[in-house]
Amino acid sequence: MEILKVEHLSKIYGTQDNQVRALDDISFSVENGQFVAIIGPSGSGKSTLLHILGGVDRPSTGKVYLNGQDVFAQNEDQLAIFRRRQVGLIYQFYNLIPVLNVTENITLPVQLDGRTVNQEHLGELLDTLNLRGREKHLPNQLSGGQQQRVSIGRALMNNPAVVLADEPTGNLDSKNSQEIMEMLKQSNRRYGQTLIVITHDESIALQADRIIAIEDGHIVKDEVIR
Amino acid sequence: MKIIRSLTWQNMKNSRSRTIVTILGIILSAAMFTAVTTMGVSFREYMMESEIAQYGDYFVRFDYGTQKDLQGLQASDKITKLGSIKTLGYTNIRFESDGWDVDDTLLIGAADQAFFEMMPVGLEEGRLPENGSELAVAGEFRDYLQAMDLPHEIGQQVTLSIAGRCDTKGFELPGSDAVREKTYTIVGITGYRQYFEDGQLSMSSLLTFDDGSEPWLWGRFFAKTAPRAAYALAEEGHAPSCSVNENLLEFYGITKYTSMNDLIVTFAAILIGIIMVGSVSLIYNAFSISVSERTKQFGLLSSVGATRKQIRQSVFTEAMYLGLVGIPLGIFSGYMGIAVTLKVTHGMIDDLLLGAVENGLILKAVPSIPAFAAAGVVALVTVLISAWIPAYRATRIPPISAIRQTQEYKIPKRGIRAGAMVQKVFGLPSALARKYYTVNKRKYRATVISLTISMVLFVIAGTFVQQLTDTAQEQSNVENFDFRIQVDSQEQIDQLRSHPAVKDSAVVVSDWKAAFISEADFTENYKAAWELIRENYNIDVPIESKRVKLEYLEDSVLRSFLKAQGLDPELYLDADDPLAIVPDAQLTLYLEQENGSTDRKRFREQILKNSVEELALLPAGIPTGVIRKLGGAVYDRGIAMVNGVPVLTVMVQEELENGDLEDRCYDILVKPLEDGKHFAYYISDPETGKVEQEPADVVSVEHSRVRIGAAVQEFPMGIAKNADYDMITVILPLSAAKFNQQQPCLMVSVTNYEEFLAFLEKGAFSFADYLASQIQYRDYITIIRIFSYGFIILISLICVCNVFNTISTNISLRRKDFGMLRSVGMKNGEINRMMAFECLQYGIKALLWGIPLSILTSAMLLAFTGERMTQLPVWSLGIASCGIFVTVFITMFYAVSKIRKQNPIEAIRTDG
Repeated sequence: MEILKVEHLSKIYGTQDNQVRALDDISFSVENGQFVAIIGPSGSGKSTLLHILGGVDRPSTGKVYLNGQDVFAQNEDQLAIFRRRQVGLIYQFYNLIPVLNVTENITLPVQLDGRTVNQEHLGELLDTLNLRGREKHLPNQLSGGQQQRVSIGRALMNNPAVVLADEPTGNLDSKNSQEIMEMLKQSNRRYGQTLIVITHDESIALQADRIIAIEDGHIVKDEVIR
Repeated sequence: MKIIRSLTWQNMKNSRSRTIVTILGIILSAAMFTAVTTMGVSFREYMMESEIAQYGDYFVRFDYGTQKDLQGLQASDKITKLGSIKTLGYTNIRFESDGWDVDDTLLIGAADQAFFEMMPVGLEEGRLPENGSELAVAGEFRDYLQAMDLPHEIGQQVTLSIAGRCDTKGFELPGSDAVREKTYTIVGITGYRQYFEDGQLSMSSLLTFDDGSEPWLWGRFFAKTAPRAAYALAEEGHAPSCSVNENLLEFYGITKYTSMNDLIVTFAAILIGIIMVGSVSLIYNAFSISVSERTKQFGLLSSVGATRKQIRQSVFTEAMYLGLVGIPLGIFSGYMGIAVTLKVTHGMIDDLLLGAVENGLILKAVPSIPAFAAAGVVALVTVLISAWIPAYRATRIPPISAIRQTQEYKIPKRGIRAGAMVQKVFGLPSALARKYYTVNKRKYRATVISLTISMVLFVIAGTFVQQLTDTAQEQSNVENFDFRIQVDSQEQIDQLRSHPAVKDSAVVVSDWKAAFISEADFTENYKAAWELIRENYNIDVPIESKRVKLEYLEDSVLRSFLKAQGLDPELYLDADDPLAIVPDAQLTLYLEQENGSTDRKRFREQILKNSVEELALLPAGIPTGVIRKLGGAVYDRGIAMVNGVPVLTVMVQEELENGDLEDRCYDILVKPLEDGKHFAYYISDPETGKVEQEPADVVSVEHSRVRIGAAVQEFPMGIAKNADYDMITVILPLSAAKFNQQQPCLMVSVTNYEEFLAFLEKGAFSFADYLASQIQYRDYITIIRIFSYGFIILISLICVCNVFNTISTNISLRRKDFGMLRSVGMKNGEINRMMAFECLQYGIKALLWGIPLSILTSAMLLAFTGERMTQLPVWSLGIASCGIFVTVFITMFYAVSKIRKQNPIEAIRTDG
């Protein structure tokens, strides 16, 4: 079942002579539960694509449908709720809220929703992410790997339909990178979440079900591996 | 270095709003410095001009000097200008006029050109003499000449006998006894007559020109020197007597005593100090923020080899650029601000300054290069001081930390409070606000301090102005009318009432009586007030003894007033048997305290108990028995209370044996008899004061009683509130004033004071102006308000700029956080709530400091002026508090709105 559909997506920066087409008329769709790796050289537009899919950037033209809903037909408040519930974004540089501890950072989307935190689910995440015993720690008291795990926890807390990870291991050593990818894959398998990962690491890309290669804002290759 | 300058310039362009705000702050600071220095210079100039206009432009005066003394002075190299007036001699003025004698001696002085230039001769008509045969005469002595049937008009010739020595006052002076005559042509009339310490001899009563043709007895010499040389010149002993013009010298800072100059400089220094505190805070903040924003840049520069000096240079370069733009603009706007303010207010100021009234001087802004330079230097120093610490800090950041640009949240040791309660009550955004407040407290310290300073200054200014207003209000007109005009006829009343400036009017006839009122009939509060009056003013008058002012008020006006008070006019307006109303006593007492300060206490008390239905008054007029006893024509000169006893003063015109008429005043003591219904009149001898044993007449009170209807708290229009402490006002309808001989007055309140005043003066009405002092105090208060609030507004603007800079930049530095929050689904409304909660915390913190500090400093200010704080400055506190929240909220939401326009990812990519 198709969960994500992108139609004629373009993103243009600047005006007239200074225009840069970060994305140029991209169209594709993703099946529910699929693990997709997006690869491409620097400046190819892959991060731009991911950010648009996550609702943190707007396209210049084109549409994005998630679960059949036109993402950018929503108003700002609806988009905020979309970001809260439908997607989970993981950044290369973690981007945790520095004044919130581990638990608070992870449960932030739930709290924004005004719902009670499912302690069991939280406990499970903490165990899976190997963050037990660090619940009260602030981000500046954690290592890079631990911070990235917190950001994964935050992305997964609300059981979003799609998890989007922008170079999640880009800032980590190989051991941590491996662990992070295992957690993501676990989440993909266990919860059936669709996972889209941007990476320039071939070994990570090869772990995915499908590889989309982007160059100069165009999809140059779209290959289903498994 | 060119690259440093280029980078600095680029940074300033990129942070446009902060750059503009900082320049604005520098402009404000420089403007205020300039305003203070210019005002000081202008005021000093004005005072100097006033001094010179009244007393002359000289530093040292030599008296009773001889030719030799003059030559010595002329040879002195210390003197820059020397004026002289030589005494040619004295002329006697003696005549009789209207039964009184004038016997005066006038000095004839020959003045040189320098004297005319330096001294305030005060020419009113004609011109000054140009040779030894021309004369300028002081105005009042023209009258003397006229009384002596001597020529006294301009163009006429007058021959004077000139003696060498004063011969009427026993005043011995050097000179010959020779008397000569000299004929002068009167060419001018002067208005000014200046006396010196030797009193009787006026200086410029009769002035001629010193052309060297006449012998002279002695001279006064007026020397101008370099200010510092004045005392030295005085000590050289050039004449038997000399004095230094210290009043003028103090404006040059040369004086042995604390001078006006010192006071002006001290006051200016205090103001400049206050301005500097605010300015340094603002500009320091601005550079501090600049350094924070450019941390990564400095790190990169350092990593590629820039020295610390070069990095500091970058910050100072920014300071110089901003200063070069802001300081000249500030000096210009500061001077223009004062010039415009003085132009607008000079009409009010000049009335309050004696120099202006007497000499036609006006207080105007004086452009002074030293004042501008001083302001510029102070502003530049302020900017450089403000930039120094941030410049130093910029060099202390390790390059790699700078490049990584880790957000500098200083996490408290005890951690960040969970804010669970806050979250439960106010929601997650508020809890987040609480956490951010905890880690950002230090960054916002400057903001809180700025807000607190603004609040304190504002409340102090408000308290200061309120105190002046209260004092002025008490000392000025508190009546509900502006003019009291004596009127003779209904036509006159109609004429006055028809003037378009008349807002309201009432005809009133006043009459005075006396009364003895039982102590039991006074209210307890009034008795308590009376005790205070007796103690403080050492009054020996018993409470029972009262003067009664009967105010017969125009029936229609009284009717309206009674209705408004809920009283039935028909009961009160019976012309044959009226009911009176008695307004409360309104008194302001100045009670001396043990510590020497004066406590101002206001009383507003009902005088008589409600049970009092009648007042027994002394009958009007002079009893026939007294008239018969005194004989002759007897005139009532009114009743006065003398040591608690009513004394009727009468004037008796008696014919003497030679047929002349002589007026004699008699005091008639009026004493009540024991039955309480009669008064006995005892005549006292005007020569010996002895009171006759037997009364001249006894009069019953049946015809001199007034029925009391009600006590009222307010005064109707036209009835004066200002009263003495031993007085009761009783209001009756005008129609009941059947036998009253007093002249009626029309009490008027106006919409246009100047217009109506001109009308009254033109119409030669006899009137009392109750508004004049109020106008003067109103102007006084307006001037104080303009300068006080002008200063406070400018200081507050500096603080607002400071707040804007701090808050907007701190928010800008947190845009990544905002981006992250929005990326996980925080709505814009929730971000607004979070910011609103943060605003609240900073605002409350500013209030927690500001309110007690404001009250404390206001109380100290009042104590310094000998007053006590009797009520909290609620209005000022309220306005200042609102101002704080408005400033903080507007700034925060402006800053957040700019971030909200971005997509979340743009905010997250801050190091892009």
